[in-house]
Amino acid sequence: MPCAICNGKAAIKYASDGRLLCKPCFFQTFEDAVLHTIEADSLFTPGQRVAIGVSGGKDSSVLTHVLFVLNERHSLGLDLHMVAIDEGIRGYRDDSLACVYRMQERYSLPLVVKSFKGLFGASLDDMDARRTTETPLCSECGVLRRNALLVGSREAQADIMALGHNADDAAEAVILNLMRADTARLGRGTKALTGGADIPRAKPMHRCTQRDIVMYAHLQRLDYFATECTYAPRALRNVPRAILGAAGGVIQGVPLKVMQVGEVLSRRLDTGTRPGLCERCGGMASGRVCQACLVVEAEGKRAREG
Amino acid sequence: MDPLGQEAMATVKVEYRAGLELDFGTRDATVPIEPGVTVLALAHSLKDKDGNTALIEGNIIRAGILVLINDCDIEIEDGVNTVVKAGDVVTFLSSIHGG
Ligand SMILES: [Zn+2]
Ligand SMILES: [Zn+2]
Repeated sequence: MPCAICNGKAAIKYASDGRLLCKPCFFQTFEDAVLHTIEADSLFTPGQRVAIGVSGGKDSSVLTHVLFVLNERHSLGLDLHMVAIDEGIRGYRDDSLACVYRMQERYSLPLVVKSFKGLFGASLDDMDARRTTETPLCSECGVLRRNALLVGSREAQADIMALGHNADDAAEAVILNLMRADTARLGRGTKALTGGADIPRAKPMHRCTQRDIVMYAHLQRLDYFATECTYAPRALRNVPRAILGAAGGVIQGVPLKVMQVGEVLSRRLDTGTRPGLCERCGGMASGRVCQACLVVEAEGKRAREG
Repeated sequence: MDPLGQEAMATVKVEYRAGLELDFGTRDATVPIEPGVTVLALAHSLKDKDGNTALIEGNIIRAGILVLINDCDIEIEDGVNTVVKAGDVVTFLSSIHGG
């Protein structure tokens, strides 16, 4: 089988469009797709300080590598920093943070680490121990992590955040919000750039499929820590993930198609209301106080009662 | 050791990556193969540390598991029906394990 670009020997099926590519052309195509998103959605401007949200997992490891490569190759003029969050999940975050420190060495980028314990007074394990129900804390954790990333990015004095969200994540969010009839947030995960708070959030890999990301990480021999969060088996995300997984074997490019539907529907359903800023922390909020501050308040109350 | 017996013992190197090393308790394994064995048959024979066929679900390779032979995507060849040869490096990658 010849490579669709250079006629050399094809080695990889590029999941985004199904083309068969040789290894060098696969790398180039993947990196160019990220560059295209950066340019088409005007994510960054030269001279900006970019805080990359890193977890030690494959998505953020690939994002860091690609941004580092593109910044050099195309003289993007970005001042890259890394921000990591320690949620305090034993047997999960310890190992992935070790990977973040190795990344810091490899790319020589400044790093800010923020912990739930330091910011909110309790680790995720502490919060889980106080729970009386089996419901996992994933949505609360997501809200707090988002807030912690904002605080860490402010500390890094970043102009913008870069996050490793991919097309599969966006498609999962679309399906999850459909099942919940959460029409207001239907297309939220599909945008490459979201503003609102003082530091906007950019997702340069939002059109990259999970398959291509895993392939890229492996073939580049990137160092990352691949394990499931200890709370993940209880997470609601597993439902859309299973649906997408089953469909992926039969239909080409499913995550991108679901994303597209999410984009169209959200445009049609857009009520024109824009989120304001939280009066406590300055983060994005649909009411007067943001979700993160509400979670912190509820957890604080639980801690005092427990 | 008789040389004939050794010659009949064809093996492949199996790599468990992207999270599968945790399920299998190892990153690399040397696995004996029968002549003409396919990727699917090989995947059936590989048991994780709990003795389960972790690469298989409903008689096919689990959704989200990618397979490469000598760093070449099996989708380029015959997919799960690609024949594995002695000395090949077969890599299983999980795209399901944490991002
Ligand atoms: Zn090529
Ligand atoms: Zn707030």
